[in-house]
Amino acid sequence: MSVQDEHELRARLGALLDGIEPRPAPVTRVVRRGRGIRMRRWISVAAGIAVIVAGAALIPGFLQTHRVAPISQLHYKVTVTPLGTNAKGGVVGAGTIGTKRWRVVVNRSQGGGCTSQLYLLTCGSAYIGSVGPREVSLDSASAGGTQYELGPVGADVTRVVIQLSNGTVLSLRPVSAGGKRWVAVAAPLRAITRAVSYVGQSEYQYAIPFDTNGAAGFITWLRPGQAGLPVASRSVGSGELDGVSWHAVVHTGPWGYCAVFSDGSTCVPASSASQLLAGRVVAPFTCSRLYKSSSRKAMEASSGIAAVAPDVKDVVLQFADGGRLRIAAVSVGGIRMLGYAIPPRPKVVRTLAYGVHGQLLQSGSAAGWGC
Amino acid sequence: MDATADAEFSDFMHGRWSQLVRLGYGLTGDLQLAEDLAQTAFARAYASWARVRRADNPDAYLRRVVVNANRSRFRKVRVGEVLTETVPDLVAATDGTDQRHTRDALVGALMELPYGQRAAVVLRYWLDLTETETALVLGCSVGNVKSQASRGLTKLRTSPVLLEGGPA
Repeated sequence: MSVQDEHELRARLGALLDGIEPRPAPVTRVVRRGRGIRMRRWISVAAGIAVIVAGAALIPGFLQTHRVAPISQLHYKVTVTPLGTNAKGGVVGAGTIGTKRWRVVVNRSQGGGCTSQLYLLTCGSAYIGSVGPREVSLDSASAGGTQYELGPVGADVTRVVIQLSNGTVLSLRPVSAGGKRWVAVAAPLRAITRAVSYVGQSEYQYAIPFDTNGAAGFITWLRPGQAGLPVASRSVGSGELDGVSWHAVVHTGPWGYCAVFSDGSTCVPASSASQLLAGRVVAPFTCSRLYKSSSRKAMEASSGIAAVAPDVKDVVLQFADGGRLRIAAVSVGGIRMLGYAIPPRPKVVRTLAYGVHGQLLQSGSAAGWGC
Repeated sequence: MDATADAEFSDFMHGRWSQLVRLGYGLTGDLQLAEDLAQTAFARAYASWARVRRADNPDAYLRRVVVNANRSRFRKVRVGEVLTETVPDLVAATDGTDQRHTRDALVGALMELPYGQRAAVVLRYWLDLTETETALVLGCSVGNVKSQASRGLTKLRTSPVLLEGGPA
């Protein structure tokens, strides 16, 4: 057999590749990975900006005009400026932190990304998707010592109130830009303690943030009087893989479930936690690459967290070379989870779930482990 | 993303999943790797869904991610990767032995091509992309696509794997 011309090559490639029958599209897993990527982008933006600010601190000339004043835990002053209902120049949030003026701008041409300078955050109108008529979706970013909250609000939302740790209450009125209604605020790191949305004159929902490197992450919105999950932190796994230490801790609270890895974090709203298993006995739901802390060079190894059914005591991962890894599940905020770290090779080929009496509950596929 | 956007993404992924995995297979010769690459592409598309769904050619975006992700994989595993002589099994290998040998030989010959030539050959001769479309996916000039595809075809014509790997 040989390939003599283009026509023949097309026919042979067609016979080869069109005959491949992949497994069904793993939409759920891909969506999980996509959400992880999005969160890491935020973290990267914040980290990059922090590096720039730190670099600027070494250049006196730069500092003469852009000095970032240190702000103590409670002695700071934040204000917001009323902007009207339609954004001018895309400005959807403005105000002051101490003597510095901050602004948040929505720019259609920016697409789905964000950029930041000192006291100025600019995001594309497509960065955050649409929300329901009574919903608020706030995303956070941090730059230097400042955090920003920006997000679209539904048509029925009349205002969003932000509470700060020093007792300040900021009222944000939605501002229209790029076809959506937005609210935005800036504050010192760790200063935002609560957000409350209003429909008409009534409080509709409130949210307590999870602290992500000083920036407030609003994940779960609760109705007035609804308590949410009790605050607790539990290690679901730790260890060392190829000389790299890893750990996985799940923090529960009114924000929902937030898993913090050696390098990154992922949060799940409390209302979605029951859907993690979706009828399965074992469901890996989040994962990140394991990084070498010294060089920041990405390893191929993965660290992640899986949810397991209530009656699962531990899970055994079986590898292609016959090796086995037993991982104990722990209860966190009413659901059972386990943390793991696995090398890129050999591949996981089977998942075995065992009950409290050591009985085999399920021998399942290897799908979902690692990333 | 809201539920509507999620549903939209789900439809988008279902409609393109098989073709993207097949592209990955043409580039790697490994079905599991191909599925990993396709997942990577869709995950990135999900992360930038607002932009991707408005793009003129979202398929080109997905293909480019697959091609580049596989190229990055080569860079990462170059030292540790061991190339085996055995071509991975095809899932839909229900055909006769001779035809199977022919397929395996073609996969083997493709894998012997330098990566740029292999990508150009698969995109041009399997997906039937134009030279301009192929250049967009590969991120290179049209002239480069022409030369890569031409060299790839020439090598396949004289590939000893194809000449010896199956029945004449």
